[in-house]
Amino acid sequence: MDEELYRIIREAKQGKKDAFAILVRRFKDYVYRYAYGMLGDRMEAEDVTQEAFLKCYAALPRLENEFSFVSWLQRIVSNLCSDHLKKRQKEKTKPIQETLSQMEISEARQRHSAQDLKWTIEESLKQLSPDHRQIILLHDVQGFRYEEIAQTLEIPVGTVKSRLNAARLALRQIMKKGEEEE
Amino acid sequence: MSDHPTEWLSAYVDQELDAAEREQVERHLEQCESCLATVTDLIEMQAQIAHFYRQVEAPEDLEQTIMKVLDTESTSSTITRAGSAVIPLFGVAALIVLFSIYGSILVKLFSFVLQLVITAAYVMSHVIASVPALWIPVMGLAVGLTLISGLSLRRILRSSAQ
Repeated sequence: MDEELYRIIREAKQGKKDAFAILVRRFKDYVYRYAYGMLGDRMEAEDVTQEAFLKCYAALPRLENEFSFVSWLQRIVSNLCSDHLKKRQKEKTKPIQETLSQMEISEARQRHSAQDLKWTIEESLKQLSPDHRQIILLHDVQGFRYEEIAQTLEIPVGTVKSRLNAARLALRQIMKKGEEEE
Repeated sequence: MSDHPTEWLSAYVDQELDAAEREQVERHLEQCESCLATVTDLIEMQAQIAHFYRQVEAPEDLEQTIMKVLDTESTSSTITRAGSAVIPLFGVAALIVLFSIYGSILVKLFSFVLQLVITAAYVMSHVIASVPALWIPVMGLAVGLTLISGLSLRRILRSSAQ
């Protein structure tokens, strides 16, 4: 974060579209990466990224200070991803989707055993619970420290510590299982 | 340390333990191969995750798409804003024109309707006074109509606020 970025955020807050375009350019990968990690689908991640920036533009004048822009943007995309995941669960075609994802997993298993490769990190992450996936992405991909994650998710630091530990151990187990199955 | 500090290993990797906890874990790791293997795996996994997602990039045209949607939205909202300001002005102007052309007829029509309403109210009050049993249905009707109009007004105000 630098002075130049804060100036751009201030200008975008005043409704300057050129400044906002710079913010989109600078943070689109950041937002998209998280959405893709959470949803595991490129099209959906693209939709969420677009939605997140539109929300960001509309709510930017209400942002209290430019220093908290990144965590604020992260909160927007986190909420949108949670909404999409909830919507997915509510959909009537859920059993079909589950079957499909099971099929995808078994296909992936076959593919990987055929190629004699380990389970990829992406496939393993997809099998974690959304909470576990979220905390791993926030720390290892988005680069948040424990304190920042606690503020973003509004949970105590102790919970961040235990949840991240549980998530990583679960991921390790999934990856080990993947290796054993090959 | 006899127990495995499993719940601290992740925070140890992230350098989020305080000095005392860190020292405790390090002392344990010198003696415990299983925990050392876990720490090695966690570090490797973290590196793999970072490496994989660093390669994930948003589609190139996403920025243009977002800016285009923003432009379209702001244009349509400008039109809507302009439209919402013009409509009442147009209505007032139309009323002035109508009144200047048909002013005398409108005044006569208004006084006629007013007289009709007064007469109807007079007749109704006499009818109700002569038949006391009518009080209850009339009062019920009046309360019902007031409630219905109040609820409709609330709904209109809410939908216009959204």
